[in-house]
Amino acid sequence: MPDDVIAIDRREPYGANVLGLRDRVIVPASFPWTAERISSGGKRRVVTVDAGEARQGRRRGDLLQPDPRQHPLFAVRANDMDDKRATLRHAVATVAYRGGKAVRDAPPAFAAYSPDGSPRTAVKILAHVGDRTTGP
Amino acid sequence: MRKLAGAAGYTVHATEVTGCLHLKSAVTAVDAETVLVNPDWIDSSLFDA
Repeated sequence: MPDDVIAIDRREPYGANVLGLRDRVIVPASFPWTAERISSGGKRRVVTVDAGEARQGRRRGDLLQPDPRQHPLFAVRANDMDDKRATLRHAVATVAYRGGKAVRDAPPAFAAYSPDGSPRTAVKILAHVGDRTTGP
Repeated sequence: MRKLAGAAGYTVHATEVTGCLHLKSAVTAVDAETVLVNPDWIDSSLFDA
């Protein structure tokens, strides 16, 4: 069990989204108050990154893996908005990202695929999702 | 998860997170002995030694 628990700074509700890597902790630059807590007066080495840029895949070959998530929804920093809006936005961005990834370069036969043999084929489900997300 | 991790010698504790979508938004291990938590989103007493 860990013997030390650090609480994030409440001004940065998403502040726990960091990465501990050997002797370093990589922290989005948008969480300065939490970064200070992690550092514990210099006890831990904190490396800050502009996660907004990383999310858009601009830091290729740098600290983070190239990230394919170039959807503009991901570029918005969570702490620039209230919790409910941030959670909703993240959920929508996840649907956009994961949904896009699932069907990108799919072969034509995928459209008629139905996992359980029901009439709900992949193309019908996709059309339904499209209808629901684009409104009336 | 309990079966898979248990085979590797880990004990699995199921917990709920509220206010966020992923466990990692509520808690992250920053090193082998330290966790960073948002106590509003997860019961931080889970991490008491």
